[in-house]
Amino acid sequence: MSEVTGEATGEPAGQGAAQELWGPHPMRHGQALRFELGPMSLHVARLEEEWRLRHTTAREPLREVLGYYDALVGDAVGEPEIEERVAAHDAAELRDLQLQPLLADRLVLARPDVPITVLEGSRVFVFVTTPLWVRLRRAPEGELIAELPSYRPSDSWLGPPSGDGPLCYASRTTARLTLGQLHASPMRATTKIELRNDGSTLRVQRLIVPAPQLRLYRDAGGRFWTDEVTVTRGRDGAFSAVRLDGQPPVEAGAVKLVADAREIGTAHVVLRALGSLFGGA
Amino acid sequence: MSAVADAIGAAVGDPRVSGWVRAVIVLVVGLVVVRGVSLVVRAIAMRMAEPRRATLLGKAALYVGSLIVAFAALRETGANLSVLLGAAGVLTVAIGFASQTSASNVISGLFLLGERPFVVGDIIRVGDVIGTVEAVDLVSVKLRTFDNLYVRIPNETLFRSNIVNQTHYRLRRIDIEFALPVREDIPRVRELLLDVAAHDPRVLDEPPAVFMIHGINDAGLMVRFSAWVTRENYLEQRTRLYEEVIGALRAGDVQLAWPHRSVVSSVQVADRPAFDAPEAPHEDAR
Repeated sequence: MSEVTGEATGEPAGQGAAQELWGPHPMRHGQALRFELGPMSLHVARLEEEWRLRHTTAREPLREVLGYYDALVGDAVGEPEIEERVAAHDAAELRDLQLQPLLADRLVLARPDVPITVLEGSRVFVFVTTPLWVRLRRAPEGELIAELPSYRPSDSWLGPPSGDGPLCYASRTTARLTLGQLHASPMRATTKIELRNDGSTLRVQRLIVPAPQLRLYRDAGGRFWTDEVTVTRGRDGAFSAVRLDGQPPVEAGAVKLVADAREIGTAHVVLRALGSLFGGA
Repeated sequence: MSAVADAIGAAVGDPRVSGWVRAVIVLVVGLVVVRGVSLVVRAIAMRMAEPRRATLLGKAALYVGSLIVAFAALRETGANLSVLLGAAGVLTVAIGFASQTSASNVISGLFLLGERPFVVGDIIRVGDVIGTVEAVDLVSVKLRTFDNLYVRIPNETLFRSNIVNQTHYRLRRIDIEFALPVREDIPRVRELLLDVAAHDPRVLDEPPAVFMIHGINDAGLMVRFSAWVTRENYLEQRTRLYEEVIGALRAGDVQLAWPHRSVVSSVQVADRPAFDAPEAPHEDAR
């Protein structure tokens, strides 16, 4: 991954390393910072009466640029940009801006690069990445300023069009059987899914990542990981169990928890979604 | 209660008074009890049904209970109820003939409440009227059209009409139809359009967007591009998708086809006009 510091004014805003990116950023009135968060370029300006946000998203979901630097209030971030203004009168001259990464707010549907065939009585491990969301808070009080996806995945739907859903996201990147084949991106989290098939041979064309039910971790190298997920398919062909292991995979090594799950782990939500996916499971 | 009424009657010196006093007491106590029962019925129904139905049930309990209390009070006065009921029957028939339309609307309304083809907030089309359902009442449904008109549709009309509920399902499909010249590179156009769907996050990945040719006419190949969106995004996304499709076709230098007709004339003899010129009128015809 590449890092960016001090491009706009020649003055680095901080150390620029990924670790500091997620730390507090002291901001004065009239000060602006530009963040490069993978596919998203985000410009944050702090004014006395409001926070002004402008952001744009690249078409490449795996864009690797990561970092931040000082900017001018009127700087553009590219076309087309979306502007949001958050009214918040704040007399304090200095205020910290806190960035927090977190997982998607809906289930994410991922496709393997080629359909995976899981033989009867066997198990496979699949690695998949999903885009991160960024939560901006005013520290130390913690008021939410905004929550933005670093890359807005396409909407998708589980089940028939006349059904009840649920609405989910479709991951544009492909799932892989080995971690080494997975394209690492600084603004995506890696999920390891274990598929145990006790039923007849299963052909897997799509996978569900229960992002809202997973916790987010970061390893020493700055890579993001989620809890491991285990899916078991019973002898009758129905998905009998989904286990959200509550810990990252061993491949992650030493990690630090950076965000709790958005929703309390309810594996039956995933089971129901799997039922929609494979029809009648 | 009866003893009190008898005592009042004796004090007044007229036994008929005690009957009237009993009737008043029955009426007052009965109406209070009926009111309480209707509130309980409504509260229980609120837990099991939508607010609109619960209110109707509560009102039904109130009206039926009040009628029973009224008859009970009349009975206390010594009135002959059989005569009254007979008169009420005749009156009911007379009113029934006079209010056929209203009764029809009420009955249709009850059926619609049971069937629930739509609820308040849905967008429905009845005939050529499209609007948001503002209220579902016993005799009519009120709609607000998109150009902010208030439309009252009698329940009987609704019951007899085709109702299209545009917001019943969570997903809607946007269909864009146009014609392409027969010589156009169709696989390339298909790729361009599916790429539009793939890069618009509001267009659902599943169900997938579909590109199909559904006919040939005097314009060329009739093409339909269909993409799914959520009903919340439907109106906004329909316009956006048209813009994106037109943009993609322009960027890909794809020409649309329009209805046309080729007129071919064959000239076999050089000095003979393609069409016979009208003969000059004879002199004697002038």
